[in-house]
Amino acid sequence: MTIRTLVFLALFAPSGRVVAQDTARLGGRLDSATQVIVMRSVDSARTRGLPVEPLVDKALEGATKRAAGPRIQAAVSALLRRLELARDALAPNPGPRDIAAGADALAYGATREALTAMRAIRPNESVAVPLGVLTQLVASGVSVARATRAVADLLRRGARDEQLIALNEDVRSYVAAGASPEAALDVRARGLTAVLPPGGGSAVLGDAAAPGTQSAGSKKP
Amino acid sequence: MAERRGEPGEIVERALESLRALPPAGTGTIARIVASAARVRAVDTSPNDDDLLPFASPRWPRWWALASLAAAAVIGVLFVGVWKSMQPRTASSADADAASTIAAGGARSTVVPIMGSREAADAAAALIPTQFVFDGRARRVALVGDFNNWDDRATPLEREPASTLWSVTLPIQRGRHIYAFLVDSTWTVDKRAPVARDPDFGVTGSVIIVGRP
Amino acid sequence: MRSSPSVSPLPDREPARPTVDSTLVNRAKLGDIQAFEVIVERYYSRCMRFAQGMLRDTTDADDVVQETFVRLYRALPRYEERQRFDSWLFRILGNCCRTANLLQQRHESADVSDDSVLQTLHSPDRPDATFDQEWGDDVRRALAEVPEYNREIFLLHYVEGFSYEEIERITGVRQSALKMRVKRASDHLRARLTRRYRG
Repeated sequence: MTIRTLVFLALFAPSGRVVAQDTARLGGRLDSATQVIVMRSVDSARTRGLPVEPLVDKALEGATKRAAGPRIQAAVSALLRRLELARDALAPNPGPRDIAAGADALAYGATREALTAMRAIRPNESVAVPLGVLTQLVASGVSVARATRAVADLLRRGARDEQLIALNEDVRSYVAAGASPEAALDVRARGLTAVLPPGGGSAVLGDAAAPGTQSAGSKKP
Repeated sequence: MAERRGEPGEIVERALESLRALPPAGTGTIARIVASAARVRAVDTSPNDDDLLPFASPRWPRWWALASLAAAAVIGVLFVGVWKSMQPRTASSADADAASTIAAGGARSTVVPIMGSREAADAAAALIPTQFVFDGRARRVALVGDFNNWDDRATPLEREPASTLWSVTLPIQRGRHIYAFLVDSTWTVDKRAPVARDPDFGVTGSVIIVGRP
Repeated sequence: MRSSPSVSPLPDREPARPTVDSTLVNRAKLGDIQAFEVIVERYYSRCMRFAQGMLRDTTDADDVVQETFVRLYRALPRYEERQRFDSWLFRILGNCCRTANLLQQRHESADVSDDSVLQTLHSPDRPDATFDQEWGDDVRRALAEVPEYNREIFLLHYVEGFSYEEIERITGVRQSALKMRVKRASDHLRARLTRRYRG
């Protein structure tokens, strides 16, 4: 650990023990300049009440992938911004895992409104898995709007996490067999909807219904 | 040499200096231990067996040696039982009470019920034992991902005897994760899993989404 | 010929011992894996140091320490604050070391000499001074010759810094007996290392 790192820690570290844990995780795998920048982002995240683990993970990912220091710094800084956006979009009081999943989704093009919609549909449960499925559908080639609408609809109908995971797997299989991603999603979403309890219908994107209210056009259970 | 070591009274003091040197922890060692403990905690319901051997007394060495051998035989049986219970469960061996299997990409996750306080159950249940499998010839296969500090020493895979299948099971939080195998130190994606683009570093990985029934 | 000077007992030294606060332990008891990770980070090196001194085959130290922490984590729900945490940890560690030694002993052939056992000793990794490395090896060889029941008390007291009262709670052996065991271990080390370096 360089003198610069030590001085930075002495001046800015809110809790020596907690900072030491993050530093220990980095374990000398970054050059000193990059470590200082990363720890600054970590400290900023902590001050703002954001989870710090994803930032350390991102730095370690870069180290394992032998990325240059500046690239790691940029990746960590960008992730910090996304974590804050995700935290605000998933308010109130999202858990660290949800914030990290939200930041992931934002990286692949999901909108803040999409995150807010997921949270509104599932106010009291983790949305890490639905956001993960959303991210993966978009990564597979489904448009953001279509993927968001499909996942939101299924969530409203009460789809469980493992059902969403299975749907994602099926979409992937069909795409591998030559189907277009959106056609594969439409087919499988219809199939899953058929086995879910009635009560939800397709809704206009952006209809972030408040908890306890029903979206326009939906039937009563 | 004797002059450097001083008087006989000091020699043990100098020996202690040598003995008190603290060995360092290798990177990944701590993570490996924690992952191992969490894995066992998730499946273990056996009673306390950490009193492996009573402390030996020198007064009756021969008697104690016999008793210790007998205790060691019993402990050996217990070890085998605990070791067997630590093996990852497959769908075919799932418990009737709660275990279920979710296939996600190239990996398989198995949920095992946790006993204990509700808080402990919630905390432990947030970690889902998840198996990763690699098929291929290699000298060493390691798993790296956002769940083990991307440390190539934290999670080695074990090869199935007389097979090219390697596997490891470790507890992972619910949600989407990125990972890869290091096959003889070469970055290798999981062929059976979705590919993860990498907008940050440009190195493609594999994706697993871990859920819970 | 010089007569041996009278040997005074070693002064009681208590090397600084890391501690864990009850909040951390309570979190770990409830299954907080990150709290447990902090505990492992804090105690890992001490446990390795102790295991390397205790084991017949020091290559087992890594496995034994891992086994210890796994057992600790499993037993955490049963931990009560009236026990000092590191005393409890070292009780588990001592048990694991003794079991490992017993299993190792059973695997060794009947006519193995002390020398072949001592050949499995690893000296600390010191990249510079050859003399220090040699000295470290000699110390460990001498320690390995001390009977296990004396060696453990010696390590707990003089290396790990436990008081006799704490060691009595850890091992169940009376304090008077503990002091005698420590003295025997010290005497053996003194005699062995003096003979080695005085010729």
